[in-house]
Amino acid sequence: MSNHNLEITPSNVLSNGKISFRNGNPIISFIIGEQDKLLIGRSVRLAGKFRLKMNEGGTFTDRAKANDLAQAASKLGVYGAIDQLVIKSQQTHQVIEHIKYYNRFMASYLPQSVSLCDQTSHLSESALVMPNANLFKQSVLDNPTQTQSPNSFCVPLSCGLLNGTANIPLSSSWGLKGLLIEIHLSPDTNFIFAGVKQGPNSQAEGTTTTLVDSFYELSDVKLVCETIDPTPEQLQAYPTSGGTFEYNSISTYFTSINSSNAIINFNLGLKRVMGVFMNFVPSARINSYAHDGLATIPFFNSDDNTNAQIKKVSFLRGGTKFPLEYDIDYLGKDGLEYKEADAQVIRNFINSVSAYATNERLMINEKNTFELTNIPLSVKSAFDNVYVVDGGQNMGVGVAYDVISDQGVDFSTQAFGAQLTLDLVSNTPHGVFLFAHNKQTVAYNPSGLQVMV
Amino acid sequence: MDMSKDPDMAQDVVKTAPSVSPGQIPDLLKIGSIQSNVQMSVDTDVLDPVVQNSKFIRYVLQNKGILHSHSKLQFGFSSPSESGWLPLNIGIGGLIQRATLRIGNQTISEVDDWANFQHYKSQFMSSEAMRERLPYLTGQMMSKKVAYNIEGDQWSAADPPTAISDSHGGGSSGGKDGAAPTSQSHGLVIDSGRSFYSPPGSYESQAPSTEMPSYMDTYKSVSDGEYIDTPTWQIALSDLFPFLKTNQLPLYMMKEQITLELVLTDAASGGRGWVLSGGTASTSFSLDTTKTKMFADYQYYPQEMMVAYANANSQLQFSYTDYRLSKLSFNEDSTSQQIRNLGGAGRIITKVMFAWTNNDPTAATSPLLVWNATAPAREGTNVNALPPVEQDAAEAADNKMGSSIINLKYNNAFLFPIDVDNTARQFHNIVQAEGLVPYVSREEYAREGLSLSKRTLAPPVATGVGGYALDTALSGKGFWHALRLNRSERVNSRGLELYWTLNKLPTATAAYTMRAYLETIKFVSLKDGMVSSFLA
Repeated sequence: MSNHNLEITPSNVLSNGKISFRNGNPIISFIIGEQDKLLIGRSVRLAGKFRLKMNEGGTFTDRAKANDLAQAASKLGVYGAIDQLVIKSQQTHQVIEHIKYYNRFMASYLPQSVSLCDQTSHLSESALVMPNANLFKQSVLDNPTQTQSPNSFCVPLSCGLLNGTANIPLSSSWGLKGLLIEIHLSPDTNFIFAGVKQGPNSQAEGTTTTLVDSFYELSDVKLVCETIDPTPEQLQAYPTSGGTFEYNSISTYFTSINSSNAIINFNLGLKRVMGVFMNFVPSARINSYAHDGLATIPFFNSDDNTNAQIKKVSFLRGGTKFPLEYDIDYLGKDGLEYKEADAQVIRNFINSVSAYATNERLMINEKNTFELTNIPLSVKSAFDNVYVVDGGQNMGVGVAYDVISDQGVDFSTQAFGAQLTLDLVSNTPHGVFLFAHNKQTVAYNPSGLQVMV
Repeated sequence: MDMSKDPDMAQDVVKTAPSVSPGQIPDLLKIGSIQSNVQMSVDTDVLDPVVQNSKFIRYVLQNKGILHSHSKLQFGFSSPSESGWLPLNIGIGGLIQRATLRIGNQTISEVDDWANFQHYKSQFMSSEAMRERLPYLTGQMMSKKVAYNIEGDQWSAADPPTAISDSHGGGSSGGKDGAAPTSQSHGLVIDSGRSFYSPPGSYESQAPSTEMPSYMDTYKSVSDGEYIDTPTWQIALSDLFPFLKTNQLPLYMMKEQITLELVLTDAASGGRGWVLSGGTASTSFSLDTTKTKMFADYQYYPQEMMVAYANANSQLQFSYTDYRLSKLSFNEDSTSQQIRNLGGAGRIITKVMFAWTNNDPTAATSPLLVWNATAPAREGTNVNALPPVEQDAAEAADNKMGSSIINLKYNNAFLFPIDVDNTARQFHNIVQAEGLVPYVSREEYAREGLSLSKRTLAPPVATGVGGYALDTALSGKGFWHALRLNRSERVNSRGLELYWTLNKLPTATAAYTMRAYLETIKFVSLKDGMVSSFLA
């Protein structure tokens, strides 16, 4: 058995090799053709070059100009540019995994699987991540050599299928019949936003005046991976009549809330749900150059810029409280002093992504889960979280259903529900991005394949 | 009676012990395979070298027990003529030029240019370890953190600010005198565990982390009233010989002499320690021979278990990895594609690690000394200046990063279908080769982006004179490559051919040294107490 390195160029790339949402290339497609090999999912990387342009002419961004303060989510780096990740069977185009709002998924997943040590070291090289907004702008967006030498990146496409430990069969007779990996790019308006000026008069906020022409551009994009060639004996051992392949998957849902008693209800339609988590952003800030559309900030009231503190959280399954058979009451719900996010909420949020007891790498801490009134009040910048240290706000709510048996909980016939009591008393609709981690099985035979959720 | 004191008795016991079925005998040599409820004792010997001079040290181990892989070697320097510290990235490792482990007349493991090898391995130490453990143990200190502004600091190209004044503004209402820091950043700095700032009137002004911790200073001074003895440092045996991370040596089963030999770097060659910028480049860091010790830990399990193990394994064989060095001089003006045969013909090679070292640094020019893996240079105008920087179209079109293009050919096929020119992917290749991530930032690795602070490290703090700007000191100094040979093939008689194009490395006075370490598979065979070693 021997391995081989593959390097796959996009099947829909332009002749100049440059890809941008603005210039009409919102989707990058990679084909890992069907072959009698196994794909090592954890070896798959999206590699390429990244740069920011203030306009088509490629003008350099400049921190000195008050109206030239292009910013992007530092904790996401190049992940912020990926809006959707779709993995299909190459032959049948059956969707195996589809993560919508991928950058928002990563905005919660990444801070719960890496630490400051990671952000200041290898993540800066692989994903252009930085733990600080200004540092990100300085090293990536304002990189003085990026016109000729754009920023290199090489990131794993974190998702259930590729993060699994099992190798992925690519065969047409005993596998998934090749893979078609589609990356939908994020709109520039959701990736770039006006930052905050650094230095003298630093309270001044950037304007969107010159940002309206700005966009990010990828070039030299490739998918690199490693495959295993089975030995002839192993090839004979694979059943050509068909088989099954189990993998983790992330399913995504979106709704909005605009009430002091927010009720979130979804029919997940999933049988083995391991955990659910969600993050929030005011709906008006999605796809806006004026604000960070990928921020994972606490709720707030836009009329007076006060925080809309959560007071109580309940998780429901089929109308009954589950798995926590009680409401989580915020410690400070009746007081005026407690502004931090509730410890139990944060613990459950962490647990919903990675088992709390074994999670040793986190960027969630007391500094970036504050309610907003604890942040120095600079109206917009506070809510765009560029003032928050350690990668910005990492607010979210979630709950794990199964960290022991690894079998999950059946939500195929019972609806998922979450109830949030909060101080959202103004007309400020908030987008709720919900991600369900579940187990799926794909059954295949020579004539096709079927995904069973 | 300790049977280790009487080798003959030990052999008699081995011969007359009752038989035990193989299934009942745990693998005593495999780290992690012994149940936690097995009774074990550890006997520590403090060994002096049998030979010690300025260039060479030899230890001889006793044939008893099982040698614990975390046995330590201790070193200390005589006080140099001025303050000096160990290289930040490898610490006391800068002392070791070659490490050899011999059993009888067989060389079991030998790593040449070990300090460079340790530079590669040290990248995988987390920032936490580099801040909390290694500064005390090995003298390494490479943890990074973000330095945040305090109120009053002004962002400017003349960073760090020379004046602290409220009139300059600072970005928020927080930050000064213990208030929460703002998110304005001065870039990545070395984290010694203390605040990087010393605002006037703050207690931190006494010991900001811009000053190297005094306990790390090798200079002994009665006058400062703090330390009157020079520090000592340790290296683990498993760091010297990496195969000991997964195997232990059953010394009690060996009849031959076990010898550990270390060839040392020159005392004044700029490899062992650094001094303040502008200090004496030829400062000598000579060994304090009274501090050279080995703390050898010998493990013992219940006698019947050890005897049974010896009986069951009278012919013992295990595989391990060893590292062969291939190196050459390289001139940065050679910007066309280079092809270098690294050797490895007829062997099973699992990994190749390589880098280019700039040999110009001296003890008075770099806190990393010559222990660097240099990345291609930035080229253009104001490419090293922090924003705000005006950049016109001509400059933007002219500024660029030097390129690095890599591939490896063996058995008539390339490892990668297309040469790898993306530095982030080159970084990823290290991750794939090691299964670990290097804790190296982007600018430290490939010199890309401006993320390292321009603040200076090392005293005197008040003026910054004599220190080293962190960006200059660390930028592009960790540009290692690692390639995993994943085809499970024995290398044919043509050997490994490394293809590279570097356009181009920073200009240097002395020629660069290109070093490549080949990870080879070897076997050790222990038969009736006699050891032999051979390549797979």
